[in-house]
Amino acid sequence: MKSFSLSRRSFLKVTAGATAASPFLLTPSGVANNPIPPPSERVTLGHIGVGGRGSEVQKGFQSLPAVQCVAACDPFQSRVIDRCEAINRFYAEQHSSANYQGCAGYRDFRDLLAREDIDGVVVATPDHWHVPIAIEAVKAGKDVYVEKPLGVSFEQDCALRDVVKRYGAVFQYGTQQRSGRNFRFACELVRNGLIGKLHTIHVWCVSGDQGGSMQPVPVPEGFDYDLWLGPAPYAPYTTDRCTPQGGYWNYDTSLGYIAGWGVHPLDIAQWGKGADQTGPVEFEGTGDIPTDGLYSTITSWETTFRYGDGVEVRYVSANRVRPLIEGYRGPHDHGTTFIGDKGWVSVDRSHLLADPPSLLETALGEDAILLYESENHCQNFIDSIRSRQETVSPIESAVRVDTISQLLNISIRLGRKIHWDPGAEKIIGDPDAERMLSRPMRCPWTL
Amino acid sequence: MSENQTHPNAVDEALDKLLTYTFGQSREPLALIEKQVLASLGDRSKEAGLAEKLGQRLRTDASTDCKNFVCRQLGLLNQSGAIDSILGLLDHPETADHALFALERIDQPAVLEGLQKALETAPEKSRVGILLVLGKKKNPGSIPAISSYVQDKNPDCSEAAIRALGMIGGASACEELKKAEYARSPQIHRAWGNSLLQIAEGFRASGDQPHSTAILQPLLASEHPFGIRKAALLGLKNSDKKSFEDALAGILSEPDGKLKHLAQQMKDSSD
Repeated sequence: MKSFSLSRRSFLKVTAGATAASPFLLTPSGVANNPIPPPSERVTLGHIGVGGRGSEVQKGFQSLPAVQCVAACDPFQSRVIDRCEAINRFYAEQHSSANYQGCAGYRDFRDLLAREDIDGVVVATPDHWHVPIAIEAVKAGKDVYVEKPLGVSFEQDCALRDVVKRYGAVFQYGTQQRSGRNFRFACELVRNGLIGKLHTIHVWCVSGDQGGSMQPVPVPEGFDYDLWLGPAPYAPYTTDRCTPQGGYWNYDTSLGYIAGWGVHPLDIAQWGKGADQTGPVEFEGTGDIPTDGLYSTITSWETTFRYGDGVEVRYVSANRVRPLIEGYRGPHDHGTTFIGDKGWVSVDRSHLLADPPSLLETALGEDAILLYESENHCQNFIDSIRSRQETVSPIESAVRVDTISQLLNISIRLGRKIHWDPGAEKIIGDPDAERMLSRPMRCPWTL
Repeated sequence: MSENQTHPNAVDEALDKLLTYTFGQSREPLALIEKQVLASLGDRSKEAGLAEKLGQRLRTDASTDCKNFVCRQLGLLNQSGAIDSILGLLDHPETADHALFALERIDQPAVLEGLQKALETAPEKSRVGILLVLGKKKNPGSIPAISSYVQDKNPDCSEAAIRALGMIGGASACEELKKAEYARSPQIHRAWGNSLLQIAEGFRASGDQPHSTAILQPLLASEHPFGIRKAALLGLKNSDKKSFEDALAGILSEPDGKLKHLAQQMKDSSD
């Protein structure tokens, strides 16, 4: 097992539970005498990427009684130590076992994936690692929860879809709004024709930013920078490169918020439109791309895409949304509005609005189209691992919504409209744009 | 000239500045050149003109960061003029990655031929990348060149060759994979299994179910990891009902384990 150069004491602290156990069994020290769910009902999870977002997601899983978090992995040594200690502390308190040491720490995800006793893996790394790690996890027989966005290219998205299907893995995408009642209800109103014939959708989300230090500085001790870069092109370390913003806003490691944040309201647009198995047919837009500094993804944008049935979607960054929505609702930094010929419904994480307002009192009958009901995104993943049924955010809808961001990014960068065949999943009549659907990866990493 | 157009002199100035560019300097000249490259795509004459100017930078003592940036732009421009210069960068560790980025994207016959030749002479790290790029190009003509590395003493080369054969697919690639020492490491074992699974999918997609089944059945053996066995079982389920039912019965007679648990769920859901 590869490990950080820790002191012996702290090394033992993070690795004591690394003993491989039989499938569905967990036998680290401190567990045996505690009242925990029986092995057949427990799902063991490994967490890859335990920075800010990864830690939040891990806590969400940890709170579920049928879950045992048994491993944490990150190229930042301090994050691994902190998370392992927090997990061990949590289970120690839960099971009244002061010496619980069941969570093992890893720097390299491949060592975590080699453990046969881990059922599922939660990938919450920087964007450029989402798909490569998820693919290796699935090949190792694991089920995967993958934070959004999906890949840094359409090719990556498709490669993950292929392996998820090939290995029969349970896949949950981190589009947790699908597990929110308001979002589901808004989509059900649209799907049942209660706003009349849908003709327009407004989507908006948080803008990106420019800046970021370009001054090379030494890599901090205890951080495996080469592994953090992984498939991304090598570039000197700077103080801003491996921060959350640096990861989100550098084009070598991300598409920026047009994908990473935008996927949330776009996903609701796709769900309400009933387009989880398909997608729009044309894309166009403009956006600002920083010409200096470290950050290089699109910072603000104004785009339009259309479905084959004529439904038009206006998708903009929050700093450009006011003219779009001020006629019917107040500002918010993200949201999705469905507009039909008899009314509209608008939803974000704080509001559910409609016109006429009485729409919100609608009781959907048994004959209505009712969407997949999940009240807890993490629990839904665990339930699906046990039942082998599809999650609320399965791979096909993940790929379809991610494709929208991919194609808008290409359209903005090329400065021209992209025509898309959602059946064949091909760009029509533009081989140069087609070539941008893939991105080379740094050797030896591959899909 | 409209507000959005760039003065030609500005591009030439940016190209001059590019020669000495190193990371940490202003990125503005690079952004300007990239904007021109993207705007030229679709206009073959403009593409060729820019590719020629950029390619010249590879034949100078320009900075490493300049050459790497040029490689990425040439990958977008997809021209044949600079292929030899790019191939020459494979010998240098500081430029090899970006050279491969360009060669992966350039869709010209000279790239395939150049990469196959470079396999023999390139440093080991570049060789791994070359094998993977050859795989991505999916040309069966590369199989003989790739196959000689399946048993390579360098496990990274061996794994790359195994992965590349899976990407190309077909009967020849399958035969070469059967010779591999797949148990060298768990990672190679998984890569080998995945390559065979990919090839089986290819056969199934083309309607050749017997070949697909012939690949999948041996992958059910207990010596293989859970992931491979599970995928092989699913592959049979999707293509060959009789073989699937036989396989299911066999797995259900095994001692308790993850695959048996899964097989039982499959059986229950089909009953």
